[in-house]
Parts: sequence; C-alpha cells; structure tokens
Amino acid sequence: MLEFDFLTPNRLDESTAILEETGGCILAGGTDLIPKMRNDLFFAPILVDLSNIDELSFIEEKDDQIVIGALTTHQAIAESALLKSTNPALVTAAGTVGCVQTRNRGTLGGNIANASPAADSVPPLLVYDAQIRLLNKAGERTMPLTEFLVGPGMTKLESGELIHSVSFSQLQGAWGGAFQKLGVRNGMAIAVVSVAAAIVLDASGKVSDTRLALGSVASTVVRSPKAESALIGHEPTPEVVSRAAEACAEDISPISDVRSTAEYRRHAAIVLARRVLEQAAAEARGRLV
Amino acid sequence: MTEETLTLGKSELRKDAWDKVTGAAQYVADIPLTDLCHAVIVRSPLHYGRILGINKSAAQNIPGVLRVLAAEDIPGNKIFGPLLQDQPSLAIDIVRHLGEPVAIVIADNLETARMASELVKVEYEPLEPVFDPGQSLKPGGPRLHPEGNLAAQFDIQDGDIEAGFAEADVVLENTFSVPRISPAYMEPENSLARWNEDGLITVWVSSQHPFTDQVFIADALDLPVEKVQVKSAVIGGAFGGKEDSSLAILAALSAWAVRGAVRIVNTRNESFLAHPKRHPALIKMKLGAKRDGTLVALRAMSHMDTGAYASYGPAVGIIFTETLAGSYRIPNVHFETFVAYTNSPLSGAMRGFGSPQSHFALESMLDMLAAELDMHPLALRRKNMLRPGDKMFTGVVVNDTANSLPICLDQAEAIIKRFSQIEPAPGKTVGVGMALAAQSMGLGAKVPDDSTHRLEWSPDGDVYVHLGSPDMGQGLAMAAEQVTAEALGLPYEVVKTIPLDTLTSPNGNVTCASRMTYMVGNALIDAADRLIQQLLDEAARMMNFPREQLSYQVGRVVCPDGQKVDAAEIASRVADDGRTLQCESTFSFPYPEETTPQHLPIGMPHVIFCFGAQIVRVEVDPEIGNVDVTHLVAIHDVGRVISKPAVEGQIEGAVATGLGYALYEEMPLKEHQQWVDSFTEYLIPTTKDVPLNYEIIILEVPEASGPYGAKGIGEIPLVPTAPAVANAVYDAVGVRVKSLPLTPEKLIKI
Ligand SMILES: Cc1cc2nc3c(=O)[nH]c(=O)nc-3n(C[C@H](O)[C@H](O)[C@H](O)COP(=O)(O)OP(=O)(O)OC[C@H]3O[C@@H](n4cnc5c(N)ncnc54)[C@H](O)[C@@H]3O)c2cc1C
Repeated sequence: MLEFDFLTPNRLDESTAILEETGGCILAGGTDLIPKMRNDLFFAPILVDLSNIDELSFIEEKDDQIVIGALTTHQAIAESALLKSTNPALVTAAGTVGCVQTRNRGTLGGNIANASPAADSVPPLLVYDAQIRLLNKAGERTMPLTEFLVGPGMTKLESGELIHSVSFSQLQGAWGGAFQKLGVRNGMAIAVVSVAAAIVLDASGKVSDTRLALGSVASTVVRSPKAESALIGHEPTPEVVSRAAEACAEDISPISDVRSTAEYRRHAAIVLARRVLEQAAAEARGRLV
Repeated sequence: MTEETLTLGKSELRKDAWDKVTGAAQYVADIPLTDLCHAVIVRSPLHYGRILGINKSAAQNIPGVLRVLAAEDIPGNKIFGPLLQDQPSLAIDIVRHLGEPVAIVIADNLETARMASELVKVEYEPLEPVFDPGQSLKPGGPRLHPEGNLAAQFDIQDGDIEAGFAEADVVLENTFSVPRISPAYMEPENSLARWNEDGLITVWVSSQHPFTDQVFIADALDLPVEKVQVKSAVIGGAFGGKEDSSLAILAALSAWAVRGAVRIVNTRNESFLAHPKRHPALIKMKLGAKRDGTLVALRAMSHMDTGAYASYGPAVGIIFTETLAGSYRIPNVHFETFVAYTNSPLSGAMRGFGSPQSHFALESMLDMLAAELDMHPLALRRKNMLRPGDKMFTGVVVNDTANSLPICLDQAEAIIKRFSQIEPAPGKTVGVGMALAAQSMGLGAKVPDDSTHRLEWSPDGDVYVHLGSPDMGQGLAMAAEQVTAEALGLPYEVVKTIPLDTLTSPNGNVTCASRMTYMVGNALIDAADRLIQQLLDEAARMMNFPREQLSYQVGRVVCPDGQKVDAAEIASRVADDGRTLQCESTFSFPYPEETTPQHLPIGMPHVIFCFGAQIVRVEVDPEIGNVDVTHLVAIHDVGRVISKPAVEGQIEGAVATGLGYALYEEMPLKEHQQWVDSFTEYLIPTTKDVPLNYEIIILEVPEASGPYGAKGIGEIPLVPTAPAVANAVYDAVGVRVKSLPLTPEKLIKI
C-alpha cells in the first residue's frame, strides 16, 4: 500500500509554510499524480493538497493582462467567456483534455507542472508569451513559461514553491488564435501532435506579430522561430502559410513511440501548423478594419 | 411477427440491472469473507527462460506471509489446459512468456503479499524468445514444448484447387495480418477460494466454465470433484477471455495450502500479460474468379500465434479455417492453417473465435476482386452468396437461414445509396464500404455439447431457473427467464434465475460459441413442457380427477368442473410431501449423422451459421490519414428476437469492439521488450469514437432447430466491422490496408 502523509492547508500562506517546512509534493486535481503513484512511477512521502485554496482558482482581467490561477480546472477554462474572447486557442485546448471527469478535476497548474510535451494547455499559453508566477514562503518570482519548462517532467519549480498563476497580455488589433490537436482516437486522446498559433496583422494585412507552438514533437512544448520569421512582414497567403508551416519541421525533433512514429509526427505537425495558421489568419483578417 | 407473445421479443428489465447500477452486485472482488487472505502472483520477467532456482525464504519470513508456493507445492496435476494439457499452473523449470506465474505469495493482507512477492528470488537463465508463428515453426529455433511448436494444423480441401485456378480469368494474391487483441473487459480476472473444515473447497469464479474449473481444481489438488464447489459470481464481462481456469486453480491451491480463504485479483497489467487474447495471424490468400465474377478457387495459408500455451487455440484454428470462405459458394478450396506456439502472451478464446481474422482477409479480397473486375462489390457478393441447399466446402448443406443473405444485400444496397448521397465534411474524403459475415454456432461436430438446465416451481408461485451455465453479463439469465415465462404462459417477473453452483446446479456446459440462448432456450422449453405435465400429474393425484381431463392455463390447472387451482398451491402440497416440483432437461447441440460430414477432424464441421452485413461510411482526412466512421448500419439475422434490448446491446457492444479492431487496438512489443499492457497505450474506442449515425436492423429468419426460431448473436456483430471499414477507407482514398489496425500512418505517403 502507498503510505504517505496527506496535508490539506486552508490558506495560501499556510500552504507555502507547509511546503517550506515539509518539502512536500503538491497535489492539485491528482489526475497526473495519482495514476503515477498507483503505477509505482512516482512516490512522495508527503502530499500537500491544494484543493481548499480557493484563491488559486480564478480567471481575471487586470489592465490588459489575463491572469489564470493555478487551481483553475480545464472545465472552468473551457467555459470561460473572458478566455473565449481573449485566448480562444486555450479554450479549445482545455475542451480537448481527457474526458469530462478529467477536465473537472485536472488543473492548469498541474498541467504545466507535470511538464508533459503533450500538455494541451501549454501551446496556447506559449503563443501568448505567458508568464508564470511562482510563490514560496519567502516571496515570489515570475518568469516566462518557456523558461519554466525544462524537459519532460522537468521544470524550474523549486522545493517549497508553488505555481500561483499564469498571465499573458491580450493581443491587440487584428489578431487571431487557434489550436488543433491530433490524437489516435477522438475521446480521451493524448496528443500525437498539437499546434497553437497566434497571428496579428497590421493595417495593410501583413503579419506584424506571430507565434507558433507545437506539442508532442520535442522534449517540451516548443515554439517555432523558423515558422514565425517566415511569416513576419508577409501577407499570410496560402503559399506563405504553407512555407511557414514547412519551416517548423526544423524546430522540432519528434520521436517514435507506441502512439506514432517520428516521421508521421513530423508530417502531421506541418499539416496541423498550416491549418492552425490559416485558421488564425482568417480570424485576424476578420478583425481588420 | 404478428402473433401475440407474452414476453418474447419485448423489452423487459434485467433483474440484475438495479444491483449493477447501484454497485450492490457482488463481483468476486466484493464478496466478503472473514479471515480473508490475499495472494499475489510472482510472474516471469522474461519472455523465455530456464528457472535455475526459487528462493522463497526472504518472502516467507515477512510477518503476515502465510505461504509461498511454487510448482512443487501442487499436490496433484501441475498442468492443465482446456484442449491440450500443456500449461503449468505455476511454471515448472521453464518460463515461456512474460508474466507467466512462477510462484504465489499468500499473506493476511494484500500489501504484505505484494511486498513479499517482490522478495521471492527467482534465478533465471534467459533464453532467446521467438514471437513470430512462422519463424517458430522453422527448424533451428527454440523448441517451446516437448511435442514441438505446432499446437494444431488443419489442411482442408474441397474440389480441385489446381483446376479451379486454371479455370479462373482473374487471380489475386495478398497477405493480410491481424494483431493481438485484448478482450478488455471491465473486470480483470480473479478468483476467491475457501477451504472448509469438512474438507470441501468453495471457489468463487468470474468464469465462463465453472464446471471445467471444478475438474481442473480437483485435478490439481488431487481431490474428488465432489469436494470442489465452484460458484459463479457476477461477471464483469468475459468475451471468451474467461474460458481460462488459471486463477481458479491458483486460488483453490492457496486456500488449500493455508487452510483458509484466499482471494486473487489480477491487476490490469497482469490481465494484459497473462490472460488469453485474440490470435494474431498472418493470412496468405489467393482468390480466383471468372470474368463474370463467379468465384472458382480460394487458397489460404495461415499462421496463427497461440502464444506460450495452446488454450483454445486449436479450436480457434478450426473456426478460422471454416470461415475462410465466409458466406460464399466457392467450389475449389484448399486451406492450410498452422496454430503455432511462440513466446507471446497466450491467445485463446475471444469473441469471434477465428472469424474476425478470416473475414478481414476474405472480405478485403472480395472488394479488391470487385475493383479488378470493375464490378460493384455488392453485385460480386450477390453473385456468390450461399443459398439454402448449397454445399459448403466442409460438405455441410446450408439450411434455410441463408435466406437472410439476400435480404442483407438488398438492405445494404439501399443503405449504400443513401450513404453515398451524404455530403462530405469540408476537407474530408468520404468512402462507403461493406462486408458480409458468417459465424458458426456451437463447438463443432464430435465435441460433446450437452447443456442441462432445471426449472423449479416454488410454493410461493415463482419459477426458478437453475441455469447450468453462467450469465457473463450478456443477459443470458434474462433470455432464459423470458423463454421460460413464454413457455409457461407466466409473467416475466415471476421467473427468476438462481446463480450457478456446481454442487446444486445442473451442468449447462461452457458459456460460449454464440449458442447460449439456443441451448438454454431449447432445454428450458422442453423442461417447461415437462414441468406442466408433472404439474398435471400431481394435480390429478391430489384432486382425484382423471389426468386427461385436466388442462394447464397460465400458471393454473383447470379442472373438469371449471375450478382453477394455482400451480403454487400444487407446488406447496408437493413440498409438504418433502418433494420439489421441478424438471431438468438436456439439450444436445444437433449434429445429425445423416447430414453432418464425418471425414473432418474433431471439432469440424460446424453446421449452423449466423449471417449479417455491415455498411459503414467513413470520412478520411487525406492529409493526415485520420479515419472517422461517421455512419454505420448493422444488419443481423437472429432467427427470432427473444429480448430486443439484449440483441441491440450485443450488436452495439460488438460493433464498438469491431471498430477497435479496425482502427486502434494492438498489443505490440515496445521498447525494452515489454508488451503494451495498459489502457494508456492500448486504446479502445470511447463514446466519441463510435459513429453518431448508427442503426441496427434485426432480421428474423427462423432457425428451425432454435427456441422459437432463435439463433446466435453474441459474436457475429464484430466480424464484418473491420473489413467494412477497410473497404470504405479504400473507397475513400484508394489505399488498401492489409494489416490491422488501420492507423493513419498506413493511409498516407510521407
Ligand atoms: C484519463 C486522463 C486523460 C488525460 N488527458 C489529458 C489530455 O488530453 N491532455 C492533457 O494535457 N492532459 C491530460 N491528462 C493529464 C492531466 O489531466 C493534466 O495534466 C492535468 O491538468 C493535471 O492537473 P492536476 O490538477 O490533476 O495535477 P496533479 O496530478 O494534482 O499534479 C500534477 C503535477 O503538478 C504538480 N502541481 C499541481 N499543481 C501545482 C501547483 N499549483 N504548483 C506547483 N506544482 C503543482 C504536482 O505536484 C504534480 O507534480 C489526462 C489525465 C488522465 C487521468
């Protein structure tokens, strides 16, 4: 039997104090942690359950920033009108996580901290240049999400630290964002490839800003600078978009596993990148005045 | 059907439904026993190896551990096997597959048993494994069993194959491969046993064949069978995978060894590794036809991987071979089938029992031939389908139920037309495909197949069905109750099923082979008739009326003076005499000598077949190869509907299984030579993967020998699904996939 201490703080300061004191492992929705523990892939002698910390569960707009608390569930994100109008890619992504039960329990913070290359909420956050805010007993620090994610299951989170929230600036002007995911099956599908894109057009219809992020094709979710620079300054015509999508192949390093082969992932990543960019560009064009 | 029925064909409420949805139903893992101990199996970490030594002492010394058992501790026969005695209950000297039971640790709690199981030190000498059945049969490889690596071989010919091909205008040759499939039931295998002070062993099982378990347990423990009581618990799905006695034997052995009560429950990983799967197969097929589409010759050479032990492999090889010509008349055939041992997880019985494999090859070939001949696949099938009176290659003459085939094809034609008119989703390429299927019923000629069941009229008015075969969740009990109620003219509610107990229940034989409603129904109709006669005999004696002046009417005896006496009252007076108003009946699967060819091996031929067709519409993403099955119609002949929702349930579930076979499921070796052994990697369809547009058409072409005309539906609905999907995918993108599952990688060129 798994034997561990289970601590349930009720306040945020209490949480950081306990984490500092015990060096315990954070438990949020448990949808990653519990299966791992049950399969002997992970063990922690002390679990610190954050589910009572309501102040970590929120989605809010502060100035031009959108801030999402770490304990916000995928379901809450999928249903958020604020996010739908500011980061529709994230809303789409959250809606594809697991099944209803997974979305009701699984949290954004857990998805990020688990640091899977297939984490669905990460590509839409990366294309918004999201920042992550970390808290410990002594204080807090903020860093770009790309920097926080180090490798599969590896992050910059330190012992005694918790994820407080992530934040990103709203896109302005003629912008569009999209997310698509390819799984082996339709329900309860872990991404074989996932792609998110954001595009901002200037008044002449040329790309002034764009970001493309891909999941399940490298050791972390990755941005594709090659694709992005192929777009900047150009009108996103089908040819331009295709070329940019092709370019993302140079920024990824997929592997073969039971879900798919490296060659297929590379191929599908390009196709999905093209579709997502087209979708984002179409949305952006709709916002051109 | 226009005739009025009481309950037949209607939607009754399953009597176990409420318990199942509220969680009250007791599966083996739920049965409470006092002083219960737990056993954990020490399994082979190797695919193949020699055991050099087993050191039990470290585990044995852990507080809470009662015993550590290995093969040497089995007092009786250490080997079992339903068809071939080849499987050690605990490995003897050699391990032949990853996960094979080597020892078993019994402790007073599960955690201790688990922990201690890791301390059993087994020393192995690794041996080079073989996984490919063709490779396994080549000289020079490892010899896995004393008699060699061939578990069974079939060589069946009819007509003149050379002449057949000489006559053909078109000859196609292809090789197909189908993967290993897990039954993926919700309840993993388990067993619970208690040694009783009087020397009786009681074993609770989740098993399709408790009476077989009883024999194997008695044999292993060297006990008379009467000393072994096997009880059927609620079963959480079986699909053939629970025609395996291994855990029942080990639980009984453990209880016997500690003189107590012991439970074993497999984890999901153990279930994947160590319980029977559907046979992977490599099928080489050559089909010859005349220019007008007439099939003239079919040759097949097939290798099936039965894994480390035969299980039901040889019997699966039989049905596979017998269904290679599907629902078609082909005058010249030659089929060679090799069932080979390998170091893979064992394959055995699984829903379809050989028929999903043969049909994938044949029904794919037919569409390829149709394309070659520039003929509509439907027209090709219509031209060659079996008709009543046709002789199959086994010599069996097809009976009138083949009349369902033209109906299937007519319906299919209309559906194909309808499907072809549906607009594709943007960016998708659509295709429509179909397949026919034939599935045999029964265990095959010369295999004794008697099924005995008993009816009892209780003094409270209820009628009890003492079912001799377990209801594995498919609703056999409901079918039995409906048939009994209909035959006795009683409301469905008063007929109740008693769970199987080998000490008190009649032997109804194993629940399998699409024949349970058929066997049970026939036995119970006869039992009901005789029960009525007995009731009238008793009533005549009791009331002093001449027997022939009494008649039976819906649960009552009608006397010549018009008086009506409840059967319950008569049962009650019989009970006063210390007797029971009951009647047992045995139905034997009919293989009439005059019409059953006798020249074939034991288990061949099968003489009654079920037929069906499925039509699917797929949308394929031409760039990434994703297949979406958007529409599906399943047309199946059941002879006569006993329970409508149960028939629909069988079809719905089977179609989902068929879609898994078509699109997702396989159990390959992955890195570090481990098998895929969890639902994270072994993907089965979810509700989002079954088509939204989905229709069931039930045909009722009566089977003359069936109860009220009923025949089987348990297996056939998953048989045509995979080839229908493959045919639809070809129609959509022009790519012929000859190996299942149809993954996107196989559909696009990268
Ligand atoms: C059936 C099923 C289907 C799934 N499908 C998907 C899918 O489609 N897409 C997908 O992306 N994921 C999927 N997942 C994975 C999982 O649901 C998500 O990653 C989820 O967001 C994890 O969140 P959680 O709250 O459950 O994390 P937990 O399991 O509680 O924790 C995960 C990790 O994050 C750490 N952690 C949690 N919260 C914090 C915090 N605030 N600060 C610091 N560290 C923290 C924990 O210590 C742990 O290491 C699936 C899981 C299951 C069981």
